Amino acid sequence: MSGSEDDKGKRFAEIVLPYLDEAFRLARWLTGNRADAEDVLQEASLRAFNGLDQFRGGNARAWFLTIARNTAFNWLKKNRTDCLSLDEMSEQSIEAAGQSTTATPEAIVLGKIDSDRIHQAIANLPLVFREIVIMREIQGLSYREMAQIAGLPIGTVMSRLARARNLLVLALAET
Amino acid sequence: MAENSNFSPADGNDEAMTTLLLNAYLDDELDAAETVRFEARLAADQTLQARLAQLEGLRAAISPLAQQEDGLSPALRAEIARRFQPAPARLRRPVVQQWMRMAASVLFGAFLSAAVLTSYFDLWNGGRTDVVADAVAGHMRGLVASQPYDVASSDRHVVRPWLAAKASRVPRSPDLSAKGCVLAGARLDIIEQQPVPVLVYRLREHVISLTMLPSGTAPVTQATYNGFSILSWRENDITLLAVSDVTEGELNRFRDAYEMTREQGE
Repeated sequence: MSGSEDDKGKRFAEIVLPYLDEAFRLARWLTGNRADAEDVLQEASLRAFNGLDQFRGGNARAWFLTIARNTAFNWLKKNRTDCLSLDEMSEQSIEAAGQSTTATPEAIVLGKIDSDRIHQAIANLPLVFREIVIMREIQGLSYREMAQIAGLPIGTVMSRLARARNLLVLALAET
Repeated sequence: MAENSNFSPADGNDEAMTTLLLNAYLDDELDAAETVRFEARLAADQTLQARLAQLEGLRAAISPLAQQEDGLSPALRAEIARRFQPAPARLRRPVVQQWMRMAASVLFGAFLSAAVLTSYFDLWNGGRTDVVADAVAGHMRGLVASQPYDVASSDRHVVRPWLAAKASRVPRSPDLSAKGCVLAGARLDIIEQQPVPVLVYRLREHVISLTMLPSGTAPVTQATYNGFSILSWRENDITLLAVSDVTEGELNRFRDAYEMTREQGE
């Protein structure tokens, strides 16, 4: 093992290993199952290892989650043709998908919801909304981090998050 | 918010902008001035209050999902760690053991991960000093850093969600201030190549790192390492390890205080 490979391994241990769990969670929500998420995580780890030189310090968590997120999206494009159309939806049609929910939702009071139902409601969200909800509510990422990871302007992250929540409230209000 | 050029409080009456502000308020993403302005609007607007309550209800409904254990399998973690990380010097074994390990690999097939073999040989060697060395190293790194924690808060309602987002399990973080121990924050350490949650308490000017060891780790019996006091114990199915430069007696009292809160149901 050469010295530089030793260093690389050390950097991998510091920069990537602490965030494997979070990256796996994100991949599991994006792909919808553990087996696919494991494939994504293996590939993301390889990409991170090969790209360690490009990490210039700062937020290692966001850096690795970006790689995991992009790997998951590429994986979905390759393996799930139904997701392709979603991914390539224009910004306008994404906006429309969110805005088709024009009901005034403040009258809806969410009672006790069992976790299977909320799980299903999130899993049913279109990918572009689902990833934002997961990053915010499951992973506790800030708007700035979400924008970096998803490669979106903060304004777009905000509007997608608001619409995603709107869609969830409506889905959960249905009896 | 600065880079969001569309974001202007002047548009505050616009419905879409109100929705964004409401969400940003919920997510604690407004700056102090915007927060004050929004809270004034909120106080005067019952519809807005109802919408906020609804979003809080949604968040409360989702939060159990974030706690659920559906993490990475230990086998895959070990595989990734082994594939991209050269074996640290302490894991390099004498020739005889390497030969035995090879023989074992042949016998048991390629399905047994290196991690399993490594822990087998650790048990065989009768020592778990690696765990202690890693925990003390984490504690020392914390001491030489500007702060011994990654998240600074004495509020366990801040510390726990921060840890829960990063680790599949989180130890109890009781308020021990009655015993002179103040929760100062938390961090993640790497023990045996796994990230583990660490609570940081302060006892006077001393720092106590309370590490949750990887699952399946037996409590450590040694009492000191490199001049640090060490105390390890089990709570239900988790194993905790406290490291500090306080005396053994004080570390024992810390453990007693921590365990006391369990009986009180904290």
